[in-house]
Amino acid sequence: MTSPVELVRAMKEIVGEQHVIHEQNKLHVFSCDGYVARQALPRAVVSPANTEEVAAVVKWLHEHQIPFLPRGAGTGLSGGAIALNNEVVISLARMNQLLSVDFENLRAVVQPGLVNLTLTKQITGDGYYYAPDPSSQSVCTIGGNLAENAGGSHCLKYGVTTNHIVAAKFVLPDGEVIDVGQPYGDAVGYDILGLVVGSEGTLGIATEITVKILKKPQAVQTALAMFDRVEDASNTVSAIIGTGIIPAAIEMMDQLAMQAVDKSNFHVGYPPDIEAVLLIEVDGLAAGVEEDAERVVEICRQNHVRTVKIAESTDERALWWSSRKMAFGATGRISPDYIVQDGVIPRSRLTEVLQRITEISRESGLRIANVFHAGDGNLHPLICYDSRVPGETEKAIRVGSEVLHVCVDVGGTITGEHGVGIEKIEDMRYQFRDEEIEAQIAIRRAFNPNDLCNAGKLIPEPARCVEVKQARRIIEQNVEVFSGFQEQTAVTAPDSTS
Amino acid sequence: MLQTGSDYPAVLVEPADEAQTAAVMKRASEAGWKVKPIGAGTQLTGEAPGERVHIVLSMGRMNQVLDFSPSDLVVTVQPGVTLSELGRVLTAEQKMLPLDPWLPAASTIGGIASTAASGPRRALYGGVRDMAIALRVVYPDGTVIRTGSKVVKNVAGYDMTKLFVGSRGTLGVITELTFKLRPLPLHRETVLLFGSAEDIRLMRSKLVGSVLIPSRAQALSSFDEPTGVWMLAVDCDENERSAQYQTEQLKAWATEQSMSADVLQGSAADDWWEAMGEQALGADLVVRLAAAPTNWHDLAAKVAEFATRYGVDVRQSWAVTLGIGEVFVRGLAPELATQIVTELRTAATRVNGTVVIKHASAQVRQGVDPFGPIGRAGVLFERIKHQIDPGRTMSPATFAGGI
Ligand SMILES: Cc1cc2nc3c(=O)[nH]c(=O)nc-3n(C[C@H](O)[C@H](O)[C@H](O)COP(=O)(O)OP(=O)(O)OC[C@H]3O[C@@H](n4cnc5c(N)ncnc54)[C@H](O)[C@@H]3O)c2cc1C
Repeated sequence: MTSPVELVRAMKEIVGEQHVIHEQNKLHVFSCDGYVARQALPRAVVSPANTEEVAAVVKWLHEHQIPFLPRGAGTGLSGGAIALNNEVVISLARMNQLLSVDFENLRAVVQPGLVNLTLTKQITGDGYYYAPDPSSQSVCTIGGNLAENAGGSHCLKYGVTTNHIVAAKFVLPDGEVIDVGQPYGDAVGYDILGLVVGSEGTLGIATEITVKILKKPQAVQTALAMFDRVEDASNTVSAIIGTGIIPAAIEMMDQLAMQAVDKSNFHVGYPPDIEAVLLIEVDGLAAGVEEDAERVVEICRQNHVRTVKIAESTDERALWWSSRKMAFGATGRISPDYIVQDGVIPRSRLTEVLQRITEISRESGLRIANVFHAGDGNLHPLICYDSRVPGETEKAIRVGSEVLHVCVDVGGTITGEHGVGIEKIEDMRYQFRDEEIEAQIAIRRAFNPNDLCNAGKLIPEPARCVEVKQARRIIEQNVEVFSGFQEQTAVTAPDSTS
Repeated sequence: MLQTGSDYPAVLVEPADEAQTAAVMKRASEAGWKVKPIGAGTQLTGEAPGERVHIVLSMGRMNQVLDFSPSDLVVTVQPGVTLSELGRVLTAEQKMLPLDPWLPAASTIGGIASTAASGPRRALYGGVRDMAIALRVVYPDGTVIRTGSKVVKNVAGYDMTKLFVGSRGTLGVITELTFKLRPLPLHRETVLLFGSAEDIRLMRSKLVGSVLIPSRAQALSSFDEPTGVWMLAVDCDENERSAQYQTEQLKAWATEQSMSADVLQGSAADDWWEAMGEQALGADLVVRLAAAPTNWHDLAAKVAEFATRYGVDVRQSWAVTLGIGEVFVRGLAPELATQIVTELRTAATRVNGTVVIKHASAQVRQGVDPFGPIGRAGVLFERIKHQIDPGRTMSPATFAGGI
């Protein structure tokens, strides 16, 4: 057993005295992330400065069999950065540099601790931006985005994080450094980068990330459409997509969410008697955007919109967006506590699923606000509760699960962008069968055989121990039998139980 | 004649459904028979010759479009559906899967996903990995696994879909694929610009630095034209007014550079691209290069120089905003083929690029690794292969790094 003193000494040797936190009173800040329902103290928090230091830290911890996990800004909503096993937290916050930009080739290389919005801010002067835009973009890191495969409002048209990260330096859980992906074209061999993105810090640590950057669209138009009925808003979403326009974003909020955001610093003044509001943005070449915006307005009208308006200024557009992006935080103004859920459904089932959510809310007596990426069918039901009322926290968690099960039942998924973490780990069993869980554990085993790196997250333990299959025998006689066949034969169904 | 790369005869099995596929795999694993899944067999000439296989598992009978929800922009298909058949079904509802690799019409969606084949439209829409959202896969032991979810956003568990896309049948048999779709562009317009490679290099720079939205931007040299004559084809999938604006801008730049320009619209544009794809067929050697887009011009010059030096017929096609090029060579002795691959690989590696063979004779692929070096991520290839296919049942030694 390694003593705490030994651990701290070794860490300080690698990253320097001032970059190791181990005093109990200072560790509390790291006891949870954006998911506050669980807390645990890490053994220590270590902040390396570069890939080599990360690799050295990981190698030492691996050799001493001490569990560890990576952490970015700690805004994750599913508990991925919580030190359940009193891990050593490897904080990437110091590694926050934009290493290089190549405008001609549309690439930027960043350290994982670089804040999402900072990247865009640094290249905006030249007319470029980084597309994935989680609402938390002013604080969350690109490393955290990679690990969660973060989404955002504009993913409808531009795709999520996995569509924008092309390569990374990656420290495996034994300290070995590898390169995954390929800055241009395809990596040769298996798509290891594809597995790493969205792996929630369970496969290793990204220490240098190459992303695509995009030229800012020439023109943008934003519409705010208010509907008496949710159904009309849902139909509008389908009709816009059906007409052949993919807006940059289509966001929806229901009445309760509107009440919350109107209590925030960004007051839009939504009427109290409408059921839904849509925020729709189209972008592209100036010559054509206006026409697209007109089409959008027309479709809103065909679907009984009460009022629809195009933003007249960048200030107005900014207000509408701020109002939308502050929605999670604003929920705190209408309820002492809330849980953010993150299910995805086929867009065409929107009306029906929102009705089911209303029923669940009524049955449970807990209010649920809905604010979500309607174009993607990515729901964010905000379940309001009061943790001071005995049993209500548990009830809220149960209600959250129930909502996710509805999403899976209509052919969707339990999480579209916030990740599984600790929060939804049991719901994974609702979505995946045992063999499918086992298949994912096998992937983790390939990367992280000792399970020291962020154990107990993302993939639940298998319900029953799936037998490890024996190595296959090679039956030479049969080889001979088969090599005698010259004809191409269609084989009819062999008995699948044999 | 099936080009499995194997000198030994194998039995061809054509399962009708997933249950049969699973039963075959289970039997094969137990017996130690090696299995090579194939679609239409159009891309096997891009693989390492591999070990002897006993069963060629042809997915051609599983050729149904299973579920198509236009309003969700999602389609689920069996692997044996051809790209052209799928295109027909989707077009009827004004939707598209923006995958346009230059392959024979018979090539199947299962094969395209397994090789991660892509074409010019990748410039705007990305590749198979960006479109495939869910799969059903039969593991070597017959277990059936679902990956992903049939909705456009999903982060539940590892993104296993990406592992199987491009894995060339070395891990499992894909029995069902779900893709997210795009609306068929409301308007189609292609601008053709003619000039030297240098003209196109300049044009590319202007294009990338602009607000234009090219959905394809392909620089082409042709077998028939004398070397040195190039053409840049730029598409716009935006609405008509935007397309017009883009066309005007490109034409203005062409005038500045004294390049001539031509504009194709609607079905004329479609037909032109189709003809380009057809011309790609029938070469003796097809090589794919990838590097930073600003390097395309130097690499293209290398290719042209080789062609002149040895008097071979070469045609090049470069996605200039992506830095992905395909080189088609006709009338080439195998020794020269090996040499061109090796030379290009050296040149590309110098700029951190890659070169893979898409199509070559077995002799050539024996002489030079079709995939080339695999880099430091390669340590994981064996480990993943071992987890999923410990008996090395699936397509042994046909893929990168000897997998
Ligand atoms: C108000 C609010 C709004 C939000 N809105 C959105 C939204 O619109 N869309 C969205 O997708 N998410 C959203 N989120 C969730 C969260 O911001 C994202 O998941 C974000 O990507 C997390 O980044 P982070 O730097 O905070 O990571 P952390 O919370 O620190 O870590 C998240 C996970 O990533 C791992 N990790 C961190 N860095 C690395 C690394 N370098 N290598 C490997 N693993 C690493 C950690 O171990 C952990 O499992 C929101 C959160 C809040 C609080």
